[in-house]
Amino acid sequence: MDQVTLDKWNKNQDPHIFRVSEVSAIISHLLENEDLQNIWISGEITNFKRHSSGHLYFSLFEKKSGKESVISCSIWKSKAQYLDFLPEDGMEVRAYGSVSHYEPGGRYSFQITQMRPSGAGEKALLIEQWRREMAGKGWFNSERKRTLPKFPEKIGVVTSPTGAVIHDIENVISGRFPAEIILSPTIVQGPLAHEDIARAIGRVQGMVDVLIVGRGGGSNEDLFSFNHPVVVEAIVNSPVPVISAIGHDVDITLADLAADISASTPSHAAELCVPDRKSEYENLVHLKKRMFLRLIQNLERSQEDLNAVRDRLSFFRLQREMGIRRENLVEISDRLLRAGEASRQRAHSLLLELKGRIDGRNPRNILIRELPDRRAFMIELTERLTKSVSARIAREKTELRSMSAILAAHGPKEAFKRGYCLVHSDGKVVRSVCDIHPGAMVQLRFLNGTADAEIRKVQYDEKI
Amino acid sequence: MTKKYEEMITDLKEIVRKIEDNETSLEEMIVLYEQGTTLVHQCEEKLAEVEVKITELGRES
Repeated sequence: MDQVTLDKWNKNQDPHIFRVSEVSAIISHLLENEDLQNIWISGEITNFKRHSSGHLYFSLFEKKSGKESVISCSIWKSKAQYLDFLPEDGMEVRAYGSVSHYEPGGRYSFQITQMRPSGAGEKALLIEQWRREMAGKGWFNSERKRTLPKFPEKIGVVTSPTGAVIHDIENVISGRFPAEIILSPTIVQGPLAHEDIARAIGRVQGMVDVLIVGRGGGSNEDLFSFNHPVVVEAIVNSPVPVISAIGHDVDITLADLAADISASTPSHAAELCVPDRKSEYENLVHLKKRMFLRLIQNLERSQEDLNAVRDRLSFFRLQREMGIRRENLVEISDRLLRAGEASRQRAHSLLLELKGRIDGRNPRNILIRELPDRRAFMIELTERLTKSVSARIAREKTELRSMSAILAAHGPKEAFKRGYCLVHSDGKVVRSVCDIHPGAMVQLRFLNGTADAEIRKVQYDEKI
Repeated sequence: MTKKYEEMITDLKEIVRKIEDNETSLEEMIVLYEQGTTLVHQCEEKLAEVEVKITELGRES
């Protein structure tokens, strides 16, 4: 294609003009180059953003020989949910995906479908992230830890079927206690080991009383799968207690933190798992001895009890016993007799005393004793009464006389003597001229007799 | 089906407790002692089994 210049623009009236969509399509086509499809890119994350839709947007950055390069990247929500770590700015990662052109935005981006941290430091960072999350869920809490069964019959072991771990465990258990081992085989390292381990833990559930998850020593890289959340979650969800024995004593994986007990080695795990045959024998001997001693003790005590009873029932003992009892009886009857006489005398004197007290309270005796005094008192009383009564009578007589004189002075007789008479009409004293009328019959009372009269005329005083 | 070791030990401990109880009569005690010694014998036999059985699960199960 000829380059279009201003000169040509002027001279050539019909240059080829691309439409935007055409150029955009060419760009898309160029970017679909297979060199840019399904590739791994390593770089440092910058400008990390999590969109509210769940999609992740960031750039992969590299500074090489003073020159900075940046590729913009995106991870759709559907892929982002499978990331087993949280991307952060500054994190070194390896990302797998394809470059694609977003025509409506005029931008290209590297569409990532898988991404993992790269480098040892990054793995440590990842483990730390997982540890924080699991701690937040309470997976390491001490109250979650269960105690191991004392005498497990079936012991599950999740480990490599070809490694030394299963042999160590078998040796220790066979030397200590009869139990059945159920091996749930798994690979113990590599990029997919975590999924295999988690499946092996799940597979053995319901068949065993306790579970050992084990792996021999190795580098941190080798042990990495035992930090993975799917492994730790399988341990947390185990219905039976889990003993972890991963790597050497110094290695502590997240699986160790979540296990009910963390053993330093697989042999140690086996020791924790079952009791020692020798100590069990000792325990049995001890129990047998306790039963035997107690039985013997009891038998001896029963023998002693029997002897004591037999002794108490022997003829001589009975005779001696009876002699002693007879003597006791005689002594008791003597004491009873003596006690009887003394109490009889005490009772007699008490009786006399009581009789005296009762006689003292007899009313007849009291009367006889007090009669003279009472009689004299009566005479005195009578005399005093007589005196006071005659004085009273004399006083009354005098009073009466003076009253009669006063009465006589005001009585009708004196009025009759002076010429007055008393008028009665129908048995009533006539006190007013209003009480009579002409023709009324009245009785006149005089000092020495009465007279009947008829009223001829009634005349009122003018004052009335 | 023989009893589990744990069950036998539990039974044995209960027998020892009853024997050591002052309320237990001599007759009961003798019966318990016989039961106890039988259990001890069975436990010892169980412990004497040295063979450890290993079962390997298939990966697909």
